[in-house]
Amino acid sequence: MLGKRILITDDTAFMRMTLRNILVKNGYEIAGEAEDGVQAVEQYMIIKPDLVTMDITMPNMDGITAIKKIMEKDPDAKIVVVSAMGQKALVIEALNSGAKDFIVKPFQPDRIVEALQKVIG
Amino acid sequence: MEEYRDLFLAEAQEYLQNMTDCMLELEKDPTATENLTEMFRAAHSLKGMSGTMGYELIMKLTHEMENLLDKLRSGEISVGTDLVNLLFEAVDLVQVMINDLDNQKNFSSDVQALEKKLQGWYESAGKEESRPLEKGIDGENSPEDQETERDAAAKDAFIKAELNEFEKEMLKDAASRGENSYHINVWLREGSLLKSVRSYMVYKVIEKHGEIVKTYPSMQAMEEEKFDRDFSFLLLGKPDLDINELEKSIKGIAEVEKVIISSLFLEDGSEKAAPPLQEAQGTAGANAREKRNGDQGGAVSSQVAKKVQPSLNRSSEKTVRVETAKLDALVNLVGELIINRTRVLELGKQFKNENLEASLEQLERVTTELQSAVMTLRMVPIKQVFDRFPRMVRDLSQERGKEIELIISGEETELDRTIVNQIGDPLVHLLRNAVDHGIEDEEERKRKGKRPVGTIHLEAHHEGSHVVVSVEDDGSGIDPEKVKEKAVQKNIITREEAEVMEADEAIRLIFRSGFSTSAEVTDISGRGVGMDVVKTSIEALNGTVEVKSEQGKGSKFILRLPLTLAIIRTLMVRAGEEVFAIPIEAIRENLFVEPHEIRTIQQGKVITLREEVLPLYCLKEELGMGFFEEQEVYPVVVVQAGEKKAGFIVDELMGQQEVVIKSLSSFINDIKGVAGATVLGDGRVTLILDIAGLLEDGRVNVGKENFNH
Amino acid sequence: MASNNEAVAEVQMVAFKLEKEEFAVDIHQVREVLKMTRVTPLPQSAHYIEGLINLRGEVIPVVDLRKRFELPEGERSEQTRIIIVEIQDSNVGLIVDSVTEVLRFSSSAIQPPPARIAGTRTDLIKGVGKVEERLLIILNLERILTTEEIISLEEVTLSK
Repeated sequence: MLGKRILITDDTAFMRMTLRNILVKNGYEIAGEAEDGVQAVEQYMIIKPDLVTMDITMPNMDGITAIKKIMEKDPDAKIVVVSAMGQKALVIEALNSGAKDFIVKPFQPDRIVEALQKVIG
Repeated sequence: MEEYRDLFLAEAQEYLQNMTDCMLELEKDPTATENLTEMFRAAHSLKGMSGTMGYELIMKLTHEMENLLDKLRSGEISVGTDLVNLLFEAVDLVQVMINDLDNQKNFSSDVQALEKKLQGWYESAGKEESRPLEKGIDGENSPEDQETERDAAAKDAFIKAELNEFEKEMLKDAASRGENSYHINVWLREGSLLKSVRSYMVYKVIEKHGEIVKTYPSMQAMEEEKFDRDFSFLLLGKPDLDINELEKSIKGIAEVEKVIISSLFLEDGSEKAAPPLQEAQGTAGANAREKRNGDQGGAVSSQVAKKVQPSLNRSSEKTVRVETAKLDALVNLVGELIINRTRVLELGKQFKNENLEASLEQLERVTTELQSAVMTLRMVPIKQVFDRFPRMVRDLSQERGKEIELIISGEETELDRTIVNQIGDPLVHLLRNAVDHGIEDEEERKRKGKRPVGTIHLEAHHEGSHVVVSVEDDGSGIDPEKVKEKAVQKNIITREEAEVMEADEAIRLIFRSGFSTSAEVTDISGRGVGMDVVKTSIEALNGTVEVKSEQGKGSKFILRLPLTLAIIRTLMVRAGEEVFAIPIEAIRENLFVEPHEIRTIQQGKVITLREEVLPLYCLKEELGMGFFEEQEVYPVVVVQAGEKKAGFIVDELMGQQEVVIKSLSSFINDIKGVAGATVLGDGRVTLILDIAGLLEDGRVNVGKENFNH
Repeated sequence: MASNNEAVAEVQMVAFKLEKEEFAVDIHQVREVLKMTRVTPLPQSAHYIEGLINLRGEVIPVVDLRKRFELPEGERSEQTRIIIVEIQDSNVGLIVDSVTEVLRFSSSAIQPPPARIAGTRTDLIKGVGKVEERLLIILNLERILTTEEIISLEEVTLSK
């Protein structure tokens, strides 16, 4: 868990900040932040994070498409999709596209940590 | 549902027993609140199980019990005898319903009435209303770890019940090809969100390891999140399936709290699922029970530290269920094998070949071990019989207005299944007797300076190749004079006989038939009982019953039963031209007696053996097979049954032998003095003597028929 | 017994002799026929119960039919046999003077016992089979072996 580098993707600054705080408090390193799918894909190949958190609903390129693209470039990519309540079908689609796990908003710190731990330790 | 009913019944029975035990504990010590927690859990599990199986009425009733118990354990209501009686009523009703699962609707009015009563109790305690019964597997009260295995087993049963014949066949078929089926029960953590997605993720993981045959709840229900925290899959695993890997990968999904995987057997409908492959967590319930048992003080100073077997801790033993018919067939075959072995060994001796002898020795060793192993298959702990007694004694003593404590020890002692089945009724009678006639009422006990609470000690232990079960009370004891008087009145003995009779023998008169009349003896089942029936039942099992009593102090009834019915060690003796087998347990020693040592007195021949006067009988004569002949020396077998000892003069002592007891055909009526027959190595039928029968009534004289040969 | 042959036209019976009288038993009731063998006596039993034998591990009681019918004890000869029959789910051996043969009776050859003959216990007889000139009595073995009454040979034969 120590020093694992995370790429946070969300179109809302507030969300990004909240997530950042939780992750840092739990020993993770924030490698970068992306505002939409396009940025996520770009940054991924440069930063090569250990894990990506991906919001589903974003402008320019939505989360699911971004997941697919990243998986194409790196089949070993570890992506955790972030969703709101009621987005069940989308979460499943995300999982089918290659996401390893999901987190639900509003955030609950221990849930996030658990999910991340299961995926990257 | 049919086949899996057995599993439900067995588990429900355990829970009910557990609740009963807890309630008795609680009554004795209302501060032992861990009992309440255990009872609460038991009720909760029963509710879950019966709900899963579709037994609505049982579910409703246990739900009310659970509510009430919840209030009790939180201290809102306190325990009292009335409340305990009510709970007993509820337990009894559940028991009755479980015994009659097909006719559940008959009980609906009873359940309603009891529900009202139970509700009445906790509503009067005020505060909130009871939690409403929820559909689905569990209430909001999350079950503790201990219960999950139980619930899993019930759901397992449910899933299997949903399989149609084709599916079952397919699974059986696959099993024979090395593709085993597994029941996988997965629990999500509390408050998990998007449960359906989690279940979907679990589904995807399991799917990689084989084919998912069934799910619980249905796939649709899972998608619609129609479950509380857990769901189950029935997986037909690939041949190379690694359970540990599967478990790990399921656990690797976030928010998965627990995974329980168990093998599924579908053989002949007679085997059920093996217990979970995981170890059960240490159960808080078991600890509570141990503590309770340890705290059990009591006036009886001979309290032996009990080896506690928490009844819910089954998962640490690996068990398999087998039809008793199959077991019996196996036991019979081994019996035959032993007889044949004897024959082979005899024949082998004729050849004087070293190699042959060595092999035969090996054969003998292995078959002896096989025999022991098979015999132990039939052994069950006597606990099954003892379990129902605390409740019985409690109810009975309440009825009689006496306070009685029943102390049980040695319940883990094992004996042959058949004996366990038959020993229940005699013990019931002895216990009732102790409650009714043995223990005095409080007033009298105080006057005598005894503890106001009477004690009955029910105990079992092994002694050599026997099991000894005793019922001891600290009551008034048996008055020999009263017994004699009654016996004279009932024409069992004459007044003259009564006058010369010693106290010991007098007390034994209670075992004579005709001693207790049915008017005096009360029995719920309406069957005739009496001490004589107790005696004959025990003797039918090749056992003996004795009584020791001291006036004012108490009485002790001692039952001695053989460990197994089927094979016994005997001493072979020749009497006349026939050979007889005498069970070793009955033999004290063998002697060679010279004519001058024998004295003839009024009742017959006797010798003096180390300051004891021993009656002597000629076995041949006693069996009606010949007459006493003068010899230079007489081989004598000294035998004992209960308190009676005697010496039997035989023609020859032939050595020890293990024999298989063959039952005499039903065509022949019971013959006193003959316990059964056996077949020797040479094919001869040899009678096995029943020493207790021969020595009965202080006088031997069995065979009046003359033997013609 | 004779009821077996609704569909089958024939009944097979095992014929045996006691003194000069000839009897028959339905072959379905007969488990085995043995040569006379050592019998272990059983104390305290009726005089006609000879004792017990071992048949491949099973202990079977043996009745001396001569004694059952109050005949003097016969000389055991080469001909003496033990017929093992199945009565009420139990096996019992019957010592007889000889077993003559297995006969085939056509259903018409078997008649119920005559209604009332003085000196005959027709309740102990199931029927009579005719073969050439011979009349064989088919005994009601169940009754004979389970009743405690004394029965004499005349009571189960027709020739007086």
